[in-house]
Amino acid sequence: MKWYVLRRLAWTLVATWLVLTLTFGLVAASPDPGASAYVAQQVQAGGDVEGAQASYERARGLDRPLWAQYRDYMIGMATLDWGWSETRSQPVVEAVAAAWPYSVMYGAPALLVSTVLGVAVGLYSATHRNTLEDYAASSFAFFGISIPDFWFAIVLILVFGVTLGWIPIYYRSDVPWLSLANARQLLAPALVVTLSSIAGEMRYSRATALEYVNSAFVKTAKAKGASSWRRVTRHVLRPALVPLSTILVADLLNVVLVSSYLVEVVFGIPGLGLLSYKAIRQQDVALVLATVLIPTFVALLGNLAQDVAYTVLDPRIDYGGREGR
Amino acid sequence: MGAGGLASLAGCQGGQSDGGSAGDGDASTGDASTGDASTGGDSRGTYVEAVPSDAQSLNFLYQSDANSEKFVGAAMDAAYDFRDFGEIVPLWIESVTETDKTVWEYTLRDNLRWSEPYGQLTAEDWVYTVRNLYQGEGNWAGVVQYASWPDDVTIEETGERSFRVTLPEPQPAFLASRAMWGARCLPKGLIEPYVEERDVEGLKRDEELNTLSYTGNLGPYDFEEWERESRFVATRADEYYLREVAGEEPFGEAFAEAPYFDEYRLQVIPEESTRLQALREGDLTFYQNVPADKVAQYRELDHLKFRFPPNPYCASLYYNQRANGWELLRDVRVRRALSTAIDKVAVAEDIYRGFPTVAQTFQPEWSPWYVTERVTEHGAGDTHSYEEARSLLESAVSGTDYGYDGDALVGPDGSQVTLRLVFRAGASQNQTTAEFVAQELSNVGIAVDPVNGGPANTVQSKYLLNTDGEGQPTFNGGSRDASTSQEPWDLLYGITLNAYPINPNGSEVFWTESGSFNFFGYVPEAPLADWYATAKSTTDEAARREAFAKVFAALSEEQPVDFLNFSVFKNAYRRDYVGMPDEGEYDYLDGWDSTTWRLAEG
Repeated sequence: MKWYVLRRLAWTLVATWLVLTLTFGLVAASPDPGASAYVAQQVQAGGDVEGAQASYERARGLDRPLWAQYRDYMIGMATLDWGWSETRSQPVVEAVAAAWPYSVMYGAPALLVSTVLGVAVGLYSATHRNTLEDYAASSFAFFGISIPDFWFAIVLILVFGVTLGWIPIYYRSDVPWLSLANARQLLAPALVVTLSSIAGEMRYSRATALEYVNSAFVKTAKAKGASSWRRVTRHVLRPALVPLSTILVADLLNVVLVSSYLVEVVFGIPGLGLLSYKAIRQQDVALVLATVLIPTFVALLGNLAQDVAYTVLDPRIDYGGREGR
Repeated sequence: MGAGGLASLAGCQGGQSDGGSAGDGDASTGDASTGDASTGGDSRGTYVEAVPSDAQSLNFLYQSDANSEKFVGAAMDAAYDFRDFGEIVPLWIESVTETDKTVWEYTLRDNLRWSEPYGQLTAEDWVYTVRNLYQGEGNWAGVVQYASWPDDVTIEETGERSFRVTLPEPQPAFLASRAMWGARCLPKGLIEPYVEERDVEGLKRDEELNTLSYTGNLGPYDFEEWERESRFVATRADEYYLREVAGEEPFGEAFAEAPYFDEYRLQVIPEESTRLQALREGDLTFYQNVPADKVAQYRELDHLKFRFPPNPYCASLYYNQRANGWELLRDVRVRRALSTAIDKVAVAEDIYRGFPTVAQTFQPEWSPWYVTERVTEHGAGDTHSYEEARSLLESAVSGTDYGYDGDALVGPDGSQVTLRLVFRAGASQNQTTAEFVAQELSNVGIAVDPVNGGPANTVQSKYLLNTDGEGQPTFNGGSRDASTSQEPWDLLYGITLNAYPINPNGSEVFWTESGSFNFFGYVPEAPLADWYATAKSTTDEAARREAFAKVFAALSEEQPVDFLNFSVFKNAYRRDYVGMPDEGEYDYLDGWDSTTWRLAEG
């Protein structure tokens, strides 16, 4: 097991390097809108294009060979010196440190609620298959899966912010984090993320639990007099948790990679999603690489944690046998 | 690109730290006692403005965007501003004298102080900054001011508070060049270590430069905090140097207490609909440029009022005269014909809701350089005519392989002439205008294929930058026969250019054959380069006016582009925010005294 984890950790480093290298290459090959605007401005002020291009690159260290830039970025990444954000004029580490609490503030509760409620409702649906409640839950799940996050976010702002005035129409970062006002303004973004995650959880847990509700060992438990609650929580949930733990990582990635971009842009929350979105749009290489690094780690370490969790949830799973391979 | 994209020499109008005369027609209206913007007692309230995007930097050596300038401008004035054509507002600079328009002597005020430990702002600071950064060898520091300070301009200290700038030849409009207008310097003590080490990274990352903590009494507000992508907050400066000159011309007594807000807040709200909602809710003191289609709706709101200062950006339809554009666009008669066929009044009235004024040349009518009787009109009123346009086209194509087949203008291959009109994405009116142009030109037998060219940087890289295949792409890569853009195009819309009414010298880059921004390959028939040279160097004001009159007359005649319109800023203010000129009286350079604008007392 120990060797397995170590190997996976080593693979994590290799995969991270690959992702960062690919990202660096893509950003380097893309046109830089900042350079375009700067050069146009300088030319209109009487400068020449080549001079303007050269000074732009010099000020940003882009006049060095691509290989040198790549090497420095990678060394910086490894030594936690993630460089300087040209579009924010601050160290990248500082930018990330300032942004992540905002994402966590709505992302964590959303993930918690969607996981607990999603699994609970999914199990309920599985044990009450083809009832009115099951249909209602399925309908809700399909609604959550189908509705685009950004559209739902705008509708929430229009209905609850503009029409009813219950929530602010834009995020105010000067509100104390631990305050009712902050909770009020985070409610809508959390709801959007919750809805998109809970639907998947529900459908997946329902499908997984269905495999077990009619299995022999559950029937045996029922024959032995186990209550419905006990059968679900002890005999259905436990084996179902193994595949369900897979979707947890996917959910986390969904929040980090998809929902945070859409939700933060629409609500104007200065979190990791907005940080990454702006970095990509403005081609802030150092910031792009750092914000790509985060979901990469979430994915790789999440998958590792998930594999380890399998062995806890199901003692029959053992990676020890792979060590000899 | 678009309004605010390509470099502007004129600041945006209307808010704090921008220009305006002190006429006040609204002091008696509204109720100032709402929200945190209340007045009275010790509280002066908070100025709140929503901005669509964040500043890139507070270090003005490296900023090239308008938003960064807005942020920095709150904490720091500059050398001087303009309040009318030829009339400066002396800010850090107390006085300017000149000899033969070649030697310019500047004297700084004696009450300018950096934050400790840098002491007084002196001529030494200015000279050191210019010589070592703005004119740094090969622009080693990569600063944005480099283009404004050519190597052949010299600067020297002549006293503790005075310095002299010597030009290689007379420049009557040097005052209105970017070398000194709106320019700033830095404390020598702050930048010296970086200069000596040629430390670009240090200069870029210096904490004082990035937090404006060196600005002393040099601006109306002191920097308080900047939360990226969220807000910028500055608080009223305890000691603002202009308070000491209140009452002196041109500063009114109102400057004795300026600014009139305790806090200055710029709230970053990327979504336009959300910004507008904030305006509707009464959260904002000022909103710059409400979309044209929303103005009527927002004017109905009791808590708002509007002003419409002129905008010096010209919206034009560009004719590609390079080798990858329609060959006949090189013929003046054809360009005139197309400009005659396109109804620019309809564009201004119907697409842009009547806010812009029709353009006929590269100066707005309110510019002192616009001489009505010298300008040739096209596409407005009587000069908009399909018949006239067709007649011009028929005359132009006679003797060529082109000709009319019924109602269609056909080319050498016998098929109808189809022009590719590229428009910039990002504003719905761009596409509407492109489609309208297509409709107009169909009336003279030309088919137009509107193509979405993508966002500004894509349009720039695909259609503006051109090369003859040997050098790097530039905006003017040389002969129009050899240097072409990456993608072919015939007509292009969505790029607005600043007409520089304060100093049209700068517009030379667009209209001369070798002009560095002549991306469309225009080769003037009139001697524009000579006239520009005269205008730039003559010390005879009448000769300068005549030279520019000729330039702008020739542009209207030759139609290198179809000059469509000059718009206005559609600025919304809280009704109880007073001090700005009345509606209809807000001119181009009004707004320079906006630090005296305030919320009316209850």
